[in-house]
Amino acid sequence: MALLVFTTPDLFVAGAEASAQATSMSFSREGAELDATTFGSEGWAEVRGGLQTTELTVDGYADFALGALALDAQLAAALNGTTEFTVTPEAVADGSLAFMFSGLLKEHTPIDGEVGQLAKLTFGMVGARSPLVRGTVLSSPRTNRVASGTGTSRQLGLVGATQRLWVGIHCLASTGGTITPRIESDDATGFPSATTRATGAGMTAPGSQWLSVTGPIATDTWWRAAWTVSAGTHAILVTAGIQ
Amino acid sequence: MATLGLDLRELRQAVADALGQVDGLIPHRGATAQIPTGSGDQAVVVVVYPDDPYVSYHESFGRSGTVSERGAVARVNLLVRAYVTTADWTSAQDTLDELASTGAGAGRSVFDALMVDRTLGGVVETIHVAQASAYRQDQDTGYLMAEWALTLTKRR
Repeated sequence: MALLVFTTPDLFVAGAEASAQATSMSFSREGAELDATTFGSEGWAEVRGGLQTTELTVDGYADFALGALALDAQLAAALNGTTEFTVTPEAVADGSLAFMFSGLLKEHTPIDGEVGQLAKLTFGMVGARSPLVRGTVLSSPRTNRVASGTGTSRQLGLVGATQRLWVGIHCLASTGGTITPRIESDDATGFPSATTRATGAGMTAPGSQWLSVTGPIATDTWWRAAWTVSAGTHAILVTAGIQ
Repeated sequence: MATLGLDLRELRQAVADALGQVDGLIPHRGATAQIPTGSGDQAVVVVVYPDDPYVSYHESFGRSGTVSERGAVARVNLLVRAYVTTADWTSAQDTLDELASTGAGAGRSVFDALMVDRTLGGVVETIHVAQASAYRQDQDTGYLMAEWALTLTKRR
């Protein structure tokens, strides 16, 4: 990916897609600057990194056409609780780059605006014990899952002793049954001896969840999403990254 | 919810169709060779022109829509221009006033005709009619005219 004209990202929050409603977004990660200056600092201020925070703000147009599936409805249900957010800089697809986190949905303005203008919405989140993770799409919601299966294997790497594998899952549509996502790893791309590293909760409706796998995992560098489908049709986004 | 896709000809036709519901209006979705083509004091030709900027493709994030994706929001600016003959100047001005009026008693309102169905039959998400211009004499035709600026919002 070269320089990017920011027109076609895909944004997902809770169990909704915000791509075609959002008009701007800001996603930042910042560490606190702690003063550690002493007489021994030889005349220079000295600082240390403190607690890190991740913050997100999204602005867009209000659109209530999808009823219970609408972004507005999903945000209203998730407000003041923890939910998940994922953005892909370009169209979401298996293997594409993604940035995601889990956080407190602290702000939701469902409708705002001026006479004669399109009504707007705003929502904001702040990280809740989760970093802003640079990850990879392991399952795209553009392909409906109607049977149990696995995604394409991706070489994400080893998980160090101080690291975790972070997994974001958004279910955008689920009808007629349950889909239960999980994450598998192996030491070869063909997954000759797959190990299940994390299993999410079964999903029967739009929603999201956040999983993490504690390091170290010193043998497996290959990772993939897998899912068990009891029945029905499901659209899920699974992203993962090591941090 | 309006259909996906951005067919500009369809949009201009939808506006012309809505204006066709007004008694005595002869709408065209584009420029005609002769203006006006009607006759008599009450006959008014309205032409739907592109306004500048004509199309703004990226009013939201997103791409052109598919079955699994909602289309990005696009904005289309149009200009409705009404022409009346000037055989009787007073009558011409009264006619344009009648077209620019709205609400009770305004039987030939351009604004009201476009607001009856803000989706124009499901073609757009919404239409906004912000203002009507003062009338003036068209230098090309000599007829008296007024303009309405329309903004159409559509998922492409």
